[in-house]
Amino acid sequence: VTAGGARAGCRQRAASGCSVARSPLASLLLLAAAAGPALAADPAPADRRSADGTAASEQGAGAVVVAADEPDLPREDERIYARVFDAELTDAAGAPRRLSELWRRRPLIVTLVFARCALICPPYLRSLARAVDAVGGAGEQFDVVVLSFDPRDTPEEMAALAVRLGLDGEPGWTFGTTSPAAAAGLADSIGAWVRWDPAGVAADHPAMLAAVDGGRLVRLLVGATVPPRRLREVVWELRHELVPSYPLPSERVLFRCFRYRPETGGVAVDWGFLLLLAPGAGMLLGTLAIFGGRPARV
Amino acid sequence: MAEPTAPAATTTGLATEATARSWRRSTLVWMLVVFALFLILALLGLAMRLVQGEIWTALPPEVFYAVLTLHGLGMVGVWYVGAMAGVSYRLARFVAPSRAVNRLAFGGTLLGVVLLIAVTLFGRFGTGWYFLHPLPFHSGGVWPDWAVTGFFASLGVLGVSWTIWTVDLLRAIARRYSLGGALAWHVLAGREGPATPPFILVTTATLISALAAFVAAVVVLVLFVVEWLPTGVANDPLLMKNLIFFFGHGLVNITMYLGVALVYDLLPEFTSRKLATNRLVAAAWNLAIFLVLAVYFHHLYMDFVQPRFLQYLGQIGSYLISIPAAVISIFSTLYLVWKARVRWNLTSLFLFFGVMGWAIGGVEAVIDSTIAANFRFHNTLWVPSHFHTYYLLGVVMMILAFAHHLGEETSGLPANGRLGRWTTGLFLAGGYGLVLLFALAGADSVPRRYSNYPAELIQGVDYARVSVAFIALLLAGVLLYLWEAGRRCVRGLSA
Repeated sequence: VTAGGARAGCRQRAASGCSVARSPLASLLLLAAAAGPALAADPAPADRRSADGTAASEQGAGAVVVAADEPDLPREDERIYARVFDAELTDAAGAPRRLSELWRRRPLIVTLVFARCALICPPYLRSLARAVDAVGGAGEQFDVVVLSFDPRDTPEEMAALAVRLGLDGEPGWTFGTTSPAAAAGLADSIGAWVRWDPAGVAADHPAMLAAVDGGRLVRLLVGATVPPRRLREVVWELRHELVPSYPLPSERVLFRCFRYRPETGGVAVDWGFLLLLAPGAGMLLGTLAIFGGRPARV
Repeated sequence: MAEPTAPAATTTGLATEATARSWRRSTLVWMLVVFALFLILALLGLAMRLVQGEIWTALPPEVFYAVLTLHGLGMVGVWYVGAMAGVSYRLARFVAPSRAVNRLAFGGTLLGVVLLIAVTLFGRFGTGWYFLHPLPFHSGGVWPDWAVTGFFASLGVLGVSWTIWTVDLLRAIARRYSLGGALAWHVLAGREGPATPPFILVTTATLISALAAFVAAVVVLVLFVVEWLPTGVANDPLLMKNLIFFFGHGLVNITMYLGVALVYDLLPEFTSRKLATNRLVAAAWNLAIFLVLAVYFHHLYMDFVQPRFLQYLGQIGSYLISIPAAVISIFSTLYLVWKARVRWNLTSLFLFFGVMGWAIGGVEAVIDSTIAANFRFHNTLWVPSHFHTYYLLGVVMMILAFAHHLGEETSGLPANGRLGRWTTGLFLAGGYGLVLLFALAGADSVPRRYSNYPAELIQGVDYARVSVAFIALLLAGVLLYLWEAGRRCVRGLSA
């Protein structure tokens, strides 16, 4: 899982990975978004429920809301190969579709946003678009599905979002809306969540994408920016190719046998390699010690 | 080919009738312990296939992995000590190993096995037999800290006692033979000299290799313990994987070679031909000492940080080691029985088919050590097929042959030819069915180390179910064998 995952929304928290909330500028924007009615097209419906089913009105009052049961950022290792919720959606052209219809055609990269998001969604989607462009293969090896979890969003608004991002008509990109229940089901199946602020203006949700192959989750990328290097690994996975990964040993490591340089892929011998020679040396010395100096008769 | 030199009585461990009786008794006890553990561990193997076949659904995955760990480590350890005990006994006709060290090894093995059983069956320690770093430290809440401590204690006890045992056997050989004499260097050089029995040559070469494996074990154990203690120090997983397989693969290789040493020593007693050390045999086993150090790299093909030259070394070393060790031994065995007068009974049948099983497993090993094939096969049930073939149908049969022969020799009960043939037939039919099903499942993309197969791998369930029938045949063969050999060994104890 990519480090530095981001939360977007109305909460300010010290949890790692909440890059938006950590930044002072972002915090100001956050507060402004939460308090500024100008950013809200219409108030949140009283009966709106977030993706995890919690009523927004129950989440507390004030501009900054911290839920008692803060969900952790989704972890790929806990959800790998989980079945992804087969959500119904309406694409930007207004046609009804199902996710399964799309993933039967080719593997998917699915992400959940909302059209009126003034915080993380636009920069995150631009980052995703740049990464997809850099990696290539959209529309041929995989499709990207950008779904809104906001029931107020319309297909037209999602189409407008695609235009704003310069993705209108780009091969392999599908923008669409879905029902609250479908959004909740989908979010739950990929480890995401949505929690609206009491005003229904901003939402706390992870900026993340889920790679779906045959209806199963095969990769999660969590983070406000999508590095092309990481996305390339996701695409390798979707193409059923080996994704080489190696946890670089920390500084606490006493001996390492080889020093790997990720930037070049080169490997250099390190001091720990001597420990690999120890058994052979021990064998030779031991043999000489046992057989040497003995008055053997044969 | 010269006849092996009969050792002078005063230079052997069987100098008096009392010491000879003591060796027989202690070796019989070793064999009876091996029989008991073999049966238990084989039943655990059956249990795992029942779970994979969804015939037995009551075993939770965490228990499955603990059972897998005990089955794997237990089998590796049991057959190592079985081979060492057998070789020690046969070696005592030539040199004088220490009976005290033999007893120490027995005590250490029992203690280590008890600890291993405790940490797996009660502590749920389930890392697999290779206990790859950092898995022991990441239990996911399945096994407690005491199980990790107990596991390292078990490895420590076993490692120390087995190292002392190995050193003692080498010491005993060194009292009678020079290094060059034991390794037949004079034969290599084409010089005249005293004959080196093939058994001495193979045993010496193997025990020297064992020293390297045990040094690797010491290093890896120390590194594990340093990390386990609150030192704040961590280890490089790749370094640890190298060391673990240096030790693990080495131990398995050593066990097989000790089994071959028993074949070299025993099989001529059943044929009209004798074996002697010639230049080819001497070269083969001298080369094997060094090749053993390089072959384990084939366990690390998936680790792309491992330098490429070591990967190639693993493939080339794996190819080369099959020539000196396997091919020479197979030809030697065929030479012994081809158009020769052979006294076939359970012992000779198990010896012969053990070498042939080793050969078949060796072919699988060569395929598996080919990098291109390994990338497809390595995490499938092909690999269990490979190691069950050369273990169960190879070295296990060789050691069981020795144990039967020992029982027959000490009890005075002659071998039952009819039961021997039935036992061999059931063992081979069940064993080859078991490994065939593993191989077919591997070719059908069924991964290894799965307790339960998901819907995408549902074919694994069918392979497991069919294999249960073959395991039943195998167990019938094992039970017949235990009846035949076990009662002879028990009677031999009181003889």
